[in-house]
Amino acid sequence: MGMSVLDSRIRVFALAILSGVEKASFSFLKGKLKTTDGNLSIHMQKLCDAGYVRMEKTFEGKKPKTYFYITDDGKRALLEYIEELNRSMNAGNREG
Amino acid sequence: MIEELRELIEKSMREHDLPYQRKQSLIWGFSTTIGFLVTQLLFLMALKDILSGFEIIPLWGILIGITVYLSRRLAGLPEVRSYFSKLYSDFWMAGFFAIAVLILISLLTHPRYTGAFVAPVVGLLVAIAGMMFRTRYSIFMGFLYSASGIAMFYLWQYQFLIFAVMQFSTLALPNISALKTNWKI
Repeated sequence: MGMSVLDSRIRVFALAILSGVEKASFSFLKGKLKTTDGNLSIHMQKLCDAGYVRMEKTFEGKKPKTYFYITDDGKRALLEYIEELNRSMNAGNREG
Repeated sequence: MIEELRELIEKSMREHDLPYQRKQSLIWGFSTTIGFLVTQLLFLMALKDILSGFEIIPLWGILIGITVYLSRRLAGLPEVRSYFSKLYSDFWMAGFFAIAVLILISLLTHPRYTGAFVAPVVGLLVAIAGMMFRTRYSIFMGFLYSASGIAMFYLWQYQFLIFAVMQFSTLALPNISALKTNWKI
């Protein structure tokens, strides 16, 4: 499950950004990841469904605002992903 | 990829919403400047026995209430809150508590020199905040704020006027550009 969710660069990068912050808005992530509303919505929904990210909808005046928080599962998945990358790079270096 | 991820994680820990911070600082800068100017007038009246001086307490209560409301209403919500910004706000909370204790001690011992007691500590906090966010202007203003304590000692009758000037120069002046940003919610 973990690896299939994190097989997208945008989802990995979104998790990496969220791992350093307490919370980040949808528009902040969109700016950082340089993607479109629709694309980011789909990716963030997948992260939410996997339980890696928690979504919170709030209102700023009359405007809706969406915040994302990384969950403990999300932090764990990101660490595992980085470890996996490290392992495959080390294996590649040994073979090379 | 790993290097890119590592950089992204490190960077995100220091992220902060600069336009939001500027708006917040501008609102607090203006309101505290007005507060200190009014306090100065009331203080001069109290020195001439026209007022008791205790009118200052409800005035600051109302002023802080209005400022908190305005900063929530006008500055809105931050786009991002990093662990570093959280640490920064915790640092200010501890700073405010230290200042409140210091004000109480100086009022009970040397009330005339409250400004001279408080200004060096406020200045130190501003300078540390400047170091945290790497803004040279804040570091400079922090040390100037601390040094203003000397002026407050000798010109204690005008200590609140000096506070007003320092607050305006430290918080409002460098963030005037925030007026050009969108304030409507």
